[in-house]
Amino acid sequence: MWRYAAIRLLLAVPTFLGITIVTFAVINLAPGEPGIDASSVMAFRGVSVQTHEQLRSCYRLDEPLVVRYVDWLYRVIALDFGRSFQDGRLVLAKITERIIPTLLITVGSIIVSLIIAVPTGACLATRAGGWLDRLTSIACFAGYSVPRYVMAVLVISLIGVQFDLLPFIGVTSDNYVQMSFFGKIGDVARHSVLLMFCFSYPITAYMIRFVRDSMVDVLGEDYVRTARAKGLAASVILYRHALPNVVIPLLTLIGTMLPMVLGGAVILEVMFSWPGLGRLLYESVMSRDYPVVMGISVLSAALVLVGTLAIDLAYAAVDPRVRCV
Amino acid sequence: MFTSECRLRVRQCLTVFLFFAMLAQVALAGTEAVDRQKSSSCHYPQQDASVDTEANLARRIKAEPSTLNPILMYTAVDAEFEYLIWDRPIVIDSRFRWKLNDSVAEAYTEAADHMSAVLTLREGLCWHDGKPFTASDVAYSWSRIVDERVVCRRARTGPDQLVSCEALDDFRVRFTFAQPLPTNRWNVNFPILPEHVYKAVADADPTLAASEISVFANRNPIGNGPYRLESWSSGQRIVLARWDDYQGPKPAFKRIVFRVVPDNNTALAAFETGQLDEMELSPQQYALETDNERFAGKGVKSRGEQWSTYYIGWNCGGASPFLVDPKVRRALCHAVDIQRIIDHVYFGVFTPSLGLFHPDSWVGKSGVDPYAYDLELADKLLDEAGWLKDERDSMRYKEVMQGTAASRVPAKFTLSLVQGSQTSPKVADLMRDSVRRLGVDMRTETLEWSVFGQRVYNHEFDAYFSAWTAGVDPDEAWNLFHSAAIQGGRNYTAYANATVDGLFERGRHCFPESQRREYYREIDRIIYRDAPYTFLVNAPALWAFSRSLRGIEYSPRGPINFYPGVLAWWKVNNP
Repeated sequence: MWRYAAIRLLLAVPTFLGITIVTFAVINLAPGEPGIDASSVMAFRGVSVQTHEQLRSCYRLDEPLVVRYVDWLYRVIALDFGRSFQDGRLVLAKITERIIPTLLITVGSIIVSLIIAVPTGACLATRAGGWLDRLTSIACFAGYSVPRYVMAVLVISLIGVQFDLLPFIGVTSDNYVQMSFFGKIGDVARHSVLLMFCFSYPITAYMIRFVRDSMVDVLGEDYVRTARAKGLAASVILYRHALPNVVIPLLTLIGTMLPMVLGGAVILEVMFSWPGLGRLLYESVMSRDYPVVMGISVLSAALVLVGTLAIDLAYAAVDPRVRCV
Repeated sequence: MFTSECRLRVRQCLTVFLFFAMLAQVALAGTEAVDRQKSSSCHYPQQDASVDTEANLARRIKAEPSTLNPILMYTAVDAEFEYLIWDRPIVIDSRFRWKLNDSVAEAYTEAADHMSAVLTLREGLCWHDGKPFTASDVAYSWSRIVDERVVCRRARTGPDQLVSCEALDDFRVRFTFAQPLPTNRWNVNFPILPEHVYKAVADADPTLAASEISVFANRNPIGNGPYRLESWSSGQRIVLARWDDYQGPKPAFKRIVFRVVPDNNTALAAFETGQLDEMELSPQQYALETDNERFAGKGVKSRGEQWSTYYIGWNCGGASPFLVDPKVRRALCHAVDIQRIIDHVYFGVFTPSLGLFHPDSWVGKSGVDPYAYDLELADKLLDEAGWLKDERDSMRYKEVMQGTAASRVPAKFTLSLVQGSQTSPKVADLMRDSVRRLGVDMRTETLEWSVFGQRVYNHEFDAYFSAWTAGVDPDEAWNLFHSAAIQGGRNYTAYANATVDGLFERGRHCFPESQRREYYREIDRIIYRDAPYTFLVNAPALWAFSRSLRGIEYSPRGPINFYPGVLAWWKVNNP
């Protein structure tokens, strides 16, 4: 097991380096430059040659790409991601500030989806082919097909504006600082509901179908028939014998969602004025804020690698055959 | 007949009457003086009991400011904070006129030879932290702005025309100019930094931007204006609180809350639920989405004339052989059906552009009218320019010398558009329709924001669609059309005309306004004739305001970004 873990860990290093090289090259070789965007060029007084040269020198854009990459990588090893071109702040500070709202939504949505999807999927599997199963299938397909931004417009108009039930901009209210501890939690929860709903409904729909299909397969296995023959209760067969075998493919599915966890939902974050990492990434790409883009990309890559590694190790833990590979 | 006693009594009565009359006059004069003082101490009508001085104002910003260091500011959002946190000695009023800010300055005296000027500050002013505001702060700020180590993207243009800026004593600053220019009084209008804060910052980090100490100072500004920063919740909101020790006219709002709402539709929804008190509307929102009861229950929409022009810039520098000839560019101007664009793309809200200088500016009307939509005339102009139609494909061609050999070149150009604009592709579609009928092949390319900027900056385009807002002085158009601004200026179209260059130089150095006006009107006429730009439409400022807001005035840049602007707004208790 430990040898397997060590090999997987070693494999992650070149993968990580490859990701950084590709990301660094793509963002730096893309046309456009920081400080020379359309708004600056068209602005009241434009960008003078001197200012342009000064910006290039300040951002070290006049140095060769390889030199900049090596220097950047050297600093990243010491967890120094540099400073944002936009406001001079430390990239790590900007990311730290924005990562919490994003994790709140993405991780929260996945947890909520799991809580809803696993029992619902399992329950539907026992009634496969019945009217409830068919109805839920239609609802899931419909839910999965509606784009998130369309749903966002709908919930903002109906719940946010028409009925004025829940806030739809930002994470907290203006008087957040004056609130009690539980008041603060409630305030953040109220601000999160609509965004979390928009983020989670397609995941939930997909997971319900996924759990239901996996469970139907598992329920047809011989060991389940044996358990039934032994006279075990249906709930025991379902939750103690069948469900654990659905967990492995579910882990894979969650693994594929990891990149989304950090990237967030850019469009949703913009629509709900949510100060998350997705919005920061979008704004940084548009303004060619290379250090921030690289910082977020590296952290995302690292998270995906760690996540994949964790899932592989979890596989190995639950399935001894994997350890022998 | 009056006796002497009677005369004496009358005289005594008259004396007493005159005495009381004088007393009354003095008393009234005193009251008037006090009233004048009172009325000038507030931006809002102080006598009006319905004014809510405890109210907050919720404003919308599309993104966070990049910095709250006034000399480093460069985005439109940054500018929203300028007049609130900082008070400048010189300001721009609602008609774009130069104005001495009497909250800060007492006098501005220019020398007879126009080579220097002395600015006298008011005594007893201080910064938000209680430290005195002096002439030394002004001189120090100038030294930072012109310091090559500080990346001032905007603030340096203007102050860099000064030779020196020195504090004569605590309250007097002397500016020395490189040349005697009428625009020098604008060149001394630069933001002021607190020396006692930034001296320590500059000692540690001369760039004022690339260290923790700089970032802290730039995000926790010490200003001298009527508001101070209360909190900055990253990506969400910035709250400014009224500074009670401010010695100038008091603003009405206790707090101004800037909410970061990037999306236009969300902003309108937030306005309709009362989370915003004002927002700028898109033409579509103004024309189609704000005529409903829900909107009417919360606010009113309004529009004001703005010196903002949408145009197509043609590359006159030879990148495209087709666009080099002014006759071709005039033909293309005649091929644009501006009224159709206004009706179909801008919902009838915009107005036709009347050239380089807005008729409401002090330059006034130069006598040019918008190019009429006339395809016959456009055909004739293209024929005259030598671009003739080939009957086989109905497209135009011309024999053009390329190097030593002549080759047959098709009449074509590519219009570059910025990605994300909803209206510019529609304008291009309408234009393509007309241009095609002339036998010209028009294509479009939509470029990402940054790429568009770089292409235009490097003159790598045939034509581009953009907008610009006129500055306070017509000399600012120098940067757009003077041949010296082709490299390193904003003359992206590479337009060069010696007469225009000469007129710009004369306008820049001439003092009588009437004479300057004539130079700039002539420039306007020549630019119109040579058509390096096709001026399309004037974009008015379209705004939604809460029903409780009062005191709003429009400037050529909309209801904000001038003095007093937002400072003069107030809310009433029962709208």
